[in-house]
Amino acid sequence: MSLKPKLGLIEKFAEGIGLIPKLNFEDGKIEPMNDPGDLSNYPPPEKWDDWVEYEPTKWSRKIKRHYTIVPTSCFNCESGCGLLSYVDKETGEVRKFEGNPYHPASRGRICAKGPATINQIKDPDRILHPMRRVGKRGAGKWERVSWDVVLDEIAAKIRKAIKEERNNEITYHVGRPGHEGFMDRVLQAWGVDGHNSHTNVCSAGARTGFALWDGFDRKMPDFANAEFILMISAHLESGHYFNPHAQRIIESKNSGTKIAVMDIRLSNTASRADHWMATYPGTEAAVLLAMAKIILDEGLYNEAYLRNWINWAAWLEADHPKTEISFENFILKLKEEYAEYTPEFAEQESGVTTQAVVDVARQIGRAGSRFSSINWRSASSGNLGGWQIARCLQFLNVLTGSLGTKGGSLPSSWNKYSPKMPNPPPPQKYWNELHFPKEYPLAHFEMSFLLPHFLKEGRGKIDVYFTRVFNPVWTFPDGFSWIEALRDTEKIGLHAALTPTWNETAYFADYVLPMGHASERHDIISYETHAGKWIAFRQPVLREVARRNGKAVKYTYETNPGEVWEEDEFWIELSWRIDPDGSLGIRDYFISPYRPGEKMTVDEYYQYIFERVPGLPEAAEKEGLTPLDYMRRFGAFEMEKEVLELHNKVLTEQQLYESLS
Amino acid sequence: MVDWKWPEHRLPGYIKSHIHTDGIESEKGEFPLVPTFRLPTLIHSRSGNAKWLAEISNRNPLWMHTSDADRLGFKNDDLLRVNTEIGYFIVKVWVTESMRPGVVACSHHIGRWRRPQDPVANRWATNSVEILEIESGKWKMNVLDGIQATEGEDSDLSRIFWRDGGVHQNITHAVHPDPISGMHCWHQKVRLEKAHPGDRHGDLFVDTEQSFQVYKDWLANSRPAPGPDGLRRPLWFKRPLKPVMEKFYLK
Repeated sequence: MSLKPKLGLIEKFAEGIGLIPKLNFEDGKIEPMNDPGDLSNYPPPEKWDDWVEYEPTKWSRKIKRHYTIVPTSCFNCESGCGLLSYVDKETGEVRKFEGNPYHPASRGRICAKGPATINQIKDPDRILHPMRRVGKRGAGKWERVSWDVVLDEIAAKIRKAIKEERNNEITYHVGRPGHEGFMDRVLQAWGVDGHNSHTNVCSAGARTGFALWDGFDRKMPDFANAEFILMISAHLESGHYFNPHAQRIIESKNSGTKIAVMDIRLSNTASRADHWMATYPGTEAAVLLAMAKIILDEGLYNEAYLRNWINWAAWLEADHPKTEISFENFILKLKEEYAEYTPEFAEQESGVTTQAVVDVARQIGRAGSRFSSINWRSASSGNLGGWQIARCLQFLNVLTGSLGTKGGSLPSSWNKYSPKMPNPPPPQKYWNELHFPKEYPLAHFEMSFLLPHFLKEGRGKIDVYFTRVFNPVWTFPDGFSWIEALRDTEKIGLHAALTPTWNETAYFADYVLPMGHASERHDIISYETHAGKWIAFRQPVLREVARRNGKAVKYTYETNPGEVWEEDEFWIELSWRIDPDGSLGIRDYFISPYRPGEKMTVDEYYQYIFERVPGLPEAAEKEGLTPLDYMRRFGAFEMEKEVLELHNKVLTEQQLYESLS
Repeated sequence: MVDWKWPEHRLPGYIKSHIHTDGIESEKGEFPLVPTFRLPTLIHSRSGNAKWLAEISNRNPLWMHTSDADRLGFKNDDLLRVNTEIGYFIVKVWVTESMRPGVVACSHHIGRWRRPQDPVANRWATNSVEILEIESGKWKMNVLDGIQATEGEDSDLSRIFWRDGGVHQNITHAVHPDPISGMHCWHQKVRLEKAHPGDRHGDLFVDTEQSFQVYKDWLANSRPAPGPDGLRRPLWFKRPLKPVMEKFYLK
């Protein structure tokens, strides 16, 4: 077969009159980069130190570019998929981002937002220096200011608040999480109950519904091994962890798994489903309960699972004290409880036909322990009582015995690794009612979107307010109430916005502090994307390139553009300045675990964590690397391939004791 | 749930939503608005600095089924005024078969803005707007200019071909805290009408006194702590940044 590309008539003409460069196809001699037959999707890691490609912008001139390839993690959506950054060895410039095939969750496949990281780091409008407000808050006037001044001014204010026991006036409000573990440590070192988040505009509904069953506030399906999948949302294209999930769902579908989707739109997801159920918003629970009724009535439930794992005797005793306690009576009473949820009732509420409800219910029942379901936001986030939707969804998993099983839905914490950190601070002695008010004892979690109203009611004030990659004026409901709160210096004393780019909330800050994008910062990532368990590294790639070239780098900002910092180093530095003489006891938590008395470096922090990841030191040793160097080189590590059936594992006395404490 | 004063919800059950059909008068142009759907190509308000993504996705029209549009006399691209509990926004309608009849939807992410006094930022994705506080708590946002091609450091700025910029819908939503989960219940009951003379795509209005009232109404449905033993929260529930044990009890 000839590899010679053919020129079209127009191309030949354009080439002839010099409109485009000579395409050089006619001689058929484009030198292949790899040996014939060596076609692969990704550069092999042994070539990452010197990978050669033709310069794409100079085509058809054949200019070779040499790259060093550094792994990192995407920082756009919550999935944190693995990226490979291609750094030009000659110019030191990051040229592009592609997928990291060694990432256990994304497996080299990424969505459009991953490669677009290059746009974000090269954005001509990005913030390169710390800025301080001039004139009234929100007036739009700014001046450049040094990091030294920023750190000293903020540290003095926090120090004063802590010394005056106004710990509840310090709040860190985060939009895109990422370095929670790190930040929780910082806040507890300061002794403040200062964590606020975006969860209650996102997943609080589903979290509550799931937690009411078993304390696990999320369920993550083993889609790869499922026989039937029910998704409430456009999960394939935009659900939580959609990229790692979508590739596994489609693999399942290709091997015969059937899919049902509840969505009001004919989304990409609905269009791939075997059953598209366009439920009227908020009626999903009625449909799910009708399915539960069918599974009960037709005996499709998993009796062994229910007998073992449901407190059916306690329920009979509480709700039906006159009934003899037996499993048969439990099923009988359960059928009575849900008798009204006929498929006809479900149709009347939701608009989904009776036949579709029956069909899907029977398929779920037949899939048994291999029934996977997902609801993260969507219906449970849109509706009053939406938490019951997630609870009813898990009801189907309970009835079919598909919790914790291969092809079922897994409690999230089974598949998420919690890093062991150096010298953890004790819990804080404060409860912040601006975050957890009395009215919402069951909330998951902080009542973040009510903050402006709480301030308006005079429930408290904030002296130092950090917003980090968080834009409530734009993203949250009722943004003008946020503007009213943010412009009021009596309610919010100091507002520092930590963000890579200007946004509608940063316009109403006192300080705007530029922080790095995905390839300009450190983080660790571990999410419940599938039945495995893994950890990944987000690292500043130019810092890593400098290290590979033997150049000593002390702080990430040395290799970042302008004066862009990363958060980890910001918090360490700020904490030292809050406690300059060590008298507050804060500094103790930012001391190197390896060099007594010295300030902890970010390298030491991650070294300490990676040395304690199960299996990582051994894997690193095989490569002749330290655990930290292993993560710098490969970007991710899978500690377990399958975590299943933990509920059937017998605990030792010690484990039982620890689980209770 | 019994311990925490919600015995009626002791089992998995069905709660009628705040946008249930019982409360929607469709002949008056009322609809449930689903404002939450995400696009695979954007991420909240953080992708405005990514030119490739803005090039792919830069409009957020209101999705409406053909039968609803026919019934109400709306045509594709008609400018509508979407009235929420606390104000309104102006948006173009997209008439489509790919939508459930009786429901409208508008995507998230789009409708970013900057005021003339703000630093130049996110030019791939921001409308230029003016914000007027007509009187205390009455806020009007007018779009001055959509997205514009421009000269700059990045030559792609001059190649921007999209002009729309979309509409910032979330700012016109009242808060809806679910009394149990604490979730903001995003869906909105809205009333649709043709845009008024002078309304421009992306314009909006909000009354924050009204939004404070809606907050109070929802807050009134909560059933506050303490729970059993004077607890603020069940000890077995997760809580970010757990404080010392004694702080879990109300004195």
